[in-house]
Parts: sequence; structure tokens; C-alpha cells
Amino acid sequence: MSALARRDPTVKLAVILGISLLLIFIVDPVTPALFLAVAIAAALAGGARPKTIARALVPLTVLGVGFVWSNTVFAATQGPATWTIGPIHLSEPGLRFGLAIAIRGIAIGILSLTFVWTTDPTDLVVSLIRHARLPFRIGYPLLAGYRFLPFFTDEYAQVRLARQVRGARPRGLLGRGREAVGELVTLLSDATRRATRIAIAMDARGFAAATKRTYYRDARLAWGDAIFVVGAAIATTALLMLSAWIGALRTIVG
Amino acid sequence: MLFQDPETQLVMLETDDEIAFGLENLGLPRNEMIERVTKARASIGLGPATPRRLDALSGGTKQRVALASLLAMRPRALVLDEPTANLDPIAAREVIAAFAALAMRRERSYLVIEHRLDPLLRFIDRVAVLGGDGRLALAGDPESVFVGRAGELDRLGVWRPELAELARLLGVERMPRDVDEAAALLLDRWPPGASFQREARAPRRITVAAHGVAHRYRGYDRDAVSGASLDLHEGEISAIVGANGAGKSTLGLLLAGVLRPSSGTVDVRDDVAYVFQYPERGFLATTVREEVRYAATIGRRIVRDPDVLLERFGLARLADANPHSLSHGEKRRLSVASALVTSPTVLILDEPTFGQDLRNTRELVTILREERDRGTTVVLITHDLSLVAELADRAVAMADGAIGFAGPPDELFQRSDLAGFGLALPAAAAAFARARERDRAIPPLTGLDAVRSALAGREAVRA
Repeated sequence: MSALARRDPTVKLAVILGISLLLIFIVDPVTPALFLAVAIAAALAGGARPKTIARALVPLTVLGVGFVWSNTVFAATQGPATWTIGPIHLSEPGLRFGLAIAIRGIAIGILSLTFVWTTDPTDLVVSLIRHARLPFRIGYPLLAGYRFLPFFTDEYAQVRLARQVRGARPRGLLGRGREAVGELVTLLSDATRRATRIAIAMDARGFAAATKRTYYRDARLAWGDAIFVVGAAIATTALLMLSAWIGALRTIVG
Repeated sequence: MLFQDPETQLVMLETDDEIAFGLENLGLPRNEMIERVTKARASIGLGPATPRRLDALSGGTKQRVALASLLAMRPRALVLDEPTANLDPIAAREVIAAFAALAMRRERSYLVIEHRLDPLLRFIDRVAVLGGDGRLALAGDPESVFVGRAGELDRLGVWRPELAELARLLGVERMPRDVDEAAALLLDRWPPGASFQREARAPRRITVAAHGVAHRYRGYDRDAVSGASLDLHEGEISAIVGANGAGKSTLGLLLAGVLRPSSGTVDVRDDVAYVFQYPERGFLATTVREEVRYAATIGRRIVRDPDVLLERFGLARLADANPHSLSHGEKRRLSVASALVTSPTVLILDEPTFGQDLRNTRELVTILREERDRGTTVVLITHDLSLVAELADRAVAMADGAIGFAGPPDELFQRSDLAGFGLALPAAAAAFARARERDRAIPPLTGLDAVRSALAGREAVRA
């Protein structure tokens, strides 16, 4: 297990939320790019495979390119155009702002995914219950529900197949809508039955009756978590100072 | 309490968390939990090599984990609700073996809710039989209930162990407790020369012909079915058998023309009806009556009177109910009724006896026999070999997506590689096989129907 995976999930979540919030106030493209580089490094150190990271970057980048393009073109309709290529007018400040938003988005995206990649779902729930006052009567059913997500896609495919075989051939928009409702009703009635059974099985093992519940997983905070928070704060400050030193840093306030 | 379906009683994502879940609720200190988890794992034979993640486990192992999670709580009594009903025979054996190891020690009381009793006979001390009204109808030791009160059990629609029925047919009062005792009984009492040969059905018109079909689902790197060739005939019941995941349902869907083969051809000459394992997934109407008539609304010809069918399937009084509100057995009957309404030439049923009681199963057997006699091609996808022995004219055994055997069920039952198909002999057939190892004069009978036919007209030997 990597050092990042060993950190307490609640602490990790708080740190990542903090950095993401901070990034929202920054409007230059260089600073988020620095954070993005560090986030990718952290993901790699946390055990994410380069291929996984690359695959996550693709949709984020596509979205980012859209942002850059629309900002560059849109700003040129408001202010003076910096470049003109044929009928297209482009604006340099627009490009700059678009890049800032895009890279910020990618950086926050990779930070969040780093959290997902390095966090065990069970650890997360137990930690949230112990350190973030999440009621266990909500946390555990969430975990049980999480197990069912993969079943859902499978079941949806089977419901569709079963309905097709029985001769459901929706025609037109209305027919398609009605078919979707029918599929949903079937899926929901299945899901309800399943949820009821799970609930009974949980209660059969004393879940409802539990008053002072203990935990099998060790979710105590360790010194490593404190070091992690301090380290993250130092790294963040260092990145901001580096960005200011090379003269790139621009924030919302000025 | 151990429930029927492993999928809907496991709560956590990993094995040890699952076992500890009940202990957490009891509020035990962590070091005691760790100790109890280790012990519970050992008591059901979960080795250190067992994957941590529950979704990587087979159905049988999941059920063992569920059992371990209950044992860790150290209950004084344990209730098991049809613990093997959702498993294939080999997985069921795995769970029974784990239970047997526990039950032998008699450390606590066990209450097993079950209707397939043969594998458990050795452990049962007492039997309680519930009547249709939920009241206790009969109670006593297994021998006096299963052998002594056979007639009453039949009237109540309750399954009797095959071994008890075998003893009764041989005119013996004492009930064999396992296959070995039954084999000894056969060696002792089987009338010399009594035998039964299933009459071969004359070959008839081919209704579906599959040649070298393969199918691969999107996103998978291996074929679910590969190189399968099979002809289906008019007036014939075929059973496709094999372990979970062997490709039975995929082959059924290919034969029905629902899935397109990625290679090979399926020649379907007439209309095919397919009844899914979970019938409610195919319900399209809001009342039972409309559901049966649904074929008409999509322009298919209704051949049989829907009301007569509803009556026949015991659904007439539910005609205005919503199909989703029916019980499991009723849903199954409704799906068969709505398949039969167009009088299809081929009827394919996926796991038709899954979770059904004796009465529903018998009813289905009668209906399917009638269909066969009308000339319908019937295909059962199942791992219930007792049903195959009773009903099928032909067995098709699959392993890893390929057809490994196609022929008379009697022949399949005698194969030594049966376990390779994820199959296990039903108790009566196993007793005959065991007895035959010692004395070749014992015929290789497969089921109680065959025994009844073999003994018909003979006076069972009495000591």
C-alpha cells in the first residue's frame, strides 16, 4: 500500500477539497498547471498506473479544449480581437482566461481522481463515520448499495433483452418514453426487493439493534496524517510562491 | 440466520469485513474481533488464499462467508433458509460439506428450512412439516415422518427425500440416511432382473438446427458459447445442463434466435418462445389478463384461449392484478402461460424450477409433458438433474461454453466426468451407481420414475 493510500480518507478528502477551493480563486493558467503536475506526481506515487491517468486526462482535456475555444472566440466579440484568421476573430486575454479555467478544471479533476484511486471505499465509510460524524445507519447502507452498482448495468441489459423477446418494440418518441418507464418500473421493483432482503439480512446480524458499535477496521488517525496535512500546506504555499516569483500568479482579487 | 441468496445477504465489500460486521454491531473490542474472524474463517475452511474481495468469490464460497459471518457471532441457534437453493450442484455440495462439518459437532441448535433433503438426511434429528395454512402439520423423527407419513406429505405437496421414497418402493420401513446406506439396501433388496429402459423416441422433424455457433458478449475476451452444434426435434424435451457460467443461457438465447451468433448458423424454422429465469423482467402489461394477451397487441396470432390458460395455470382469480405483485411461483406460471398463448413450436425455459415448491414443479412437469405430446419442442435450461431424469428425452451438457455431451440422460448419468460439468447425481441415481460398482446386476436407474416403472408389476422382495 502506498503512503497516500494509508492516509486517513477523511483527512485526505479535506486536504483535496481545500486545495480545490483555493484553485477556484486563481485565474492564471500557470499556477493550476503547477498544481496539476504535482497532482499527477501524487497519483503516480499513490500507485495509479500511467495508463489510467492518461485515460482520465482524455475526457478532461476534451472538455478543456472546448472551454479554451469558446472563451477565445467569445472574448473577441466583447473586446478587440488579437488575431484574425479568415472570418474567425480571436482574443489573447480570452485565450489566457480559457486556459486558466481549463487547466484548473483538469487539475481539480485529477486531484479528485487521485483521491478515488488511492482510497478504499470501506476505509472511506468507516473513517467518515468515525471522524466526520456520518451516522453509521447511513454509511453502511451506502456501502451495501455500492456493491450493487455493477449489478445494475447487467440487470438493465437483461431487462431490455427480456422485454424485446416478449415483443416490446417502441415506436416514436412517445413509445420510447413509455418503454423507458416500463424498464424503470421493472428495475425499481427488482431493486426494492433486493434492498428489502439486504435490510433484513443486516438486521439479522444485529445492525438495527446496535447501540455502541465498534469497528473492525482501524480508523485511528496517525502521526502520518498530521505530517500529510502539514506537508500539503507547505507544498501548496511553495507552489503559490513559485508562481508569484515567476510573475504568473493572478487571483480573482487582483 | 443464513438466507437463500448470497448476493442479498452480504453487506460489505471484503471477506473479513463481512465476517466482522455482526461483531461490530455487538460492540466487541477490536482484538476479540480479529481473533473471532480468524476462527470463523478456519471453521468453514476459508484458507488464506481466498480473495479478499467478495465479488471475486464463487456463489458457493460467498454462501460459506455468509455462514462464517454468523458463526463468528457465536449464536446458540442458527437458522438456514434454503442455503443451497441458488447454487449449482457442485457449489451446493461445497456449502453442504461446510455445514456438515459444523452439524456433526452439535455445538448449537440448527434449524434448516429446506425442501431438497437428501444431502442433509444424515444430520436431521427432527422434522417439522408446515401445512399450507402455516400451521404445524406433522412432526417427528425423520424416519417416521418421511417413510411413515408419506401419504400425508404427498397430500400437502411437500418434497420427500428420494432415499425415503426409494426405501418405501422397496417395501422397507427403515430409511437410509445417505447414499451408502441406500446402496447397501439396493444390494440387499433389489429384485433380480427388475430393470427399466427408457423407450427411444422415433426421430421427428427438426425444428431448430444450430451449426458451429459461437457468441461473444461485448466487452468480453472469450466466447460465452463456441462451436456448438445441435438439432432440436418436434415433440422432444431437451435439457441443457452445466455449471453456472457454462454458457447454458447463452446457448438457449442463440437457439431462440434472440442473440445473433458471432459465427456459425442457427436455422429457426418456426416461432420460438423463451421464458426467462426471472420472468418479471419481461412483464410488459399492467394486469395479468393483458399480459397473457400481449402477443395480440404486437400482431401475433392468439391460438389458445387466454382465459382457459389462466384457469389452467391457477391464475384466473388474479386476472386483474398487476403482474409484478404476484408471488414467485405465480410469476413463473404467468410467463409460461403468456408464452403458450401463441402455441409456439419451440418453447425454451431458463431454470423453470428455480425456487419452486413440489406442487409448482409437478404442475410444470405435467404441463411440459402435455406440450411435448402436442408436438412442441421443449428445451429446459437447468442444473436440477432430478428434473432431467424425470422429464428430459435428451440431455445436453455444457462446460466452458462448449457442448461436451449430447444424448440420453441415462448415458450422461453414467459418465465419470459428471463433476466436470458442475453436476452431481441426485440421491437415488447416486445410490444405484454406488450399488452397481459392487454388483453389475443392479441396473443403472436415474430416478424414482424409472424405479417405479422397473418395479411395476413385481412384488418387492421382502425379508
